[in-house]
Amino acid sequence: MKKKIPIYLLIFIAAALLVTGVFRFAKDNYALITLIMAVLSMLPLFLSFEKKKADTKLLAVLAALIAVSVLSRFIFFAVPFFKPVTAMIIIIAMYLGSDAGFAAGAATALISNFYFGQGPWTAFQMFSWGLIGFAAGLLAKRLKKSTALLLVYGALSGVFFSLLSDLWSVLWYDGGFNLKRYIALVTSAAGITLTYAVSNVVFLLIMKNVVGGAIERVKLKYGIGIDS
Amino acid sequence: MSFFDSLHPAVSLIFFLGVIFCAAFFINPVITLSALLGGLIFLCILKGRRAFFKDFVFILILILFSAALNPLFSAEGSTVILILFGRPYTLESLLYGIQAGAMIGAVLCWFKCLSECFGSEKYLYLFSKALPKFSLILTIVFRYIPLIKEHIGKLRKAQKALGVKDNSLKNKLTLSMRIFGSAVVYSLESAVETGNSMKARGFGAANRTSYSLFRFSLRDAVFSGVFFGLAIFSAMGFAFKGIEFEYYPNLGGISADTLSVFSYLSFFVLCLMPAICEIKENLKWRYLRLRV
Repeated sequence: MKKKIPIYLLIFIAAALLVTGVFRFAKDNYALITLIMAVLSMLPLFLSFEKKKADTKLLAVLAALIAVSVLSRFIFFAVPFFKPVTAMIIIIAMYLGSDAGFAAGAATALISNFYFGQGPWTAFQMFSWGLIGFAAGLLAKRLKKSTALLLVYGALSGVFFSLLSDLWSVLWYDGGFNLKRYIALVTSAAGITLTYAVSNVVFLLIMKNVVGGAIERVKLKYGIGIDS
Repeated sequence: MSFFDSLHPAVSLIFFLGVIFCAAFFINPVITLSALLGGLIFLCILKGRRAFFKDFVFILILILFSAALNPLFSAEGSTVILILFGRPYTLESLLYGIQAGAMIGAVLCWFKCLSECFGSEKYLYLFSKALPKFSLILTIVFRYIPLIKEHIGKLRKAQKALGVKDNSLKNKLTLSMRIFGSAVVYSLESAVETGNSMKARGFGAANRTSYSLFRFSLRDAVFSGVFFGLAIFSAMGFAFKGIEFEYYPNLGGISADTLSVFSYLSFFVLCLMPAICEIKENLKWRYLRLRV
């Protein structure tokens, strides 16, 4: 019960900000409101990650996996949008849980942008990848059982990632929602969306056993995640 | 080392976020132009003329594209210039395109300046108190990235020495996957060692302390004093006189009473503050060298 209070409080703050934002301060500044909502909705996830008791081995293993997923964005730098990052985050979340999945998504976005360039998109990448990881952690059991479901999840998260970034671009550019521009952007970015989805499926297929197996083995070998 | 690099991280981050916030969310040509100009000059000082030129051309192209394309998507506005594909192409949309392009350009420019003089160690310093576990992980990741990179290089050399072929695409992919898998296993195993060592040294027994070079000095106090003064002046004008500039259906005017002019001027000076500080510092350096 104690843990749930700040989450409700934050949701309340987010809702209050949205309402006051819409009706008073920024009448049609949806981009700003969306940005605030994205940042605020990450807060409870960050807090819940901070609150969980830390097993040092788990922390270090998580850090190593994040480093690998940042590097995987580099390895394929020559092929635009065809990246194994989302697949890595989903796999991390499946084997280390939803909190770790969220942290992996947010951290990968933040750190890789130190090399690729920070921008307003950093917050949204942190949000999207963090949520993809968090949800994958919640669905971990089912995703492990059925490969088909895992691949569908990977494809959908590619689409989600692309649609969300397009949405914010339109909101920011117009200061409001312009359906015509959104449709134009989504159709012109359809190739990118498709690349995201396909690359997620391909990399999930390839890496599921390589990375997942490695995590499983290390967990078993060193007793990670088992309270000592 | 630039002047901004040596400022306290909290001061410079608040400054950057403040300017980027105004540049990104206030649709007003005066604000956007001030931010764009200040950002461009600052970036030029930070990166040098040659590297800056590339960014400048990119931003210019962005603005031109935005101006040319916007009227195709938005037919709002009352002054029709020409009819294109049976749809009106209005002056107001064209101007809004320039405004939006300049806005995006200004934000990109300030983010580039931010990355030039705000390294990862400053983020870690600022967030290690609020999010200790997350920033600890970030710290470890920053150490692991070069380590794993180096290890991947070694693996690649070893495979080459073994005579593994990478001539066809299929061979290349199998080789990369083998190297990747091996790198994952290696980094996980070495991570466990790090974890054990952390535990042995008493991780979690007390709050972690961190070494940092940052002190809040006199120049930080002076800088933040001037910054907050200017920010309050501009915020006053924005709050009382309104900041929204109408583009549709007709262009609105910019209020020119004393308070508005004063607040626009304060914002303009605020955007130029980094450039002024850097130039002042350069001149001082040159003068001191002349005396030697």
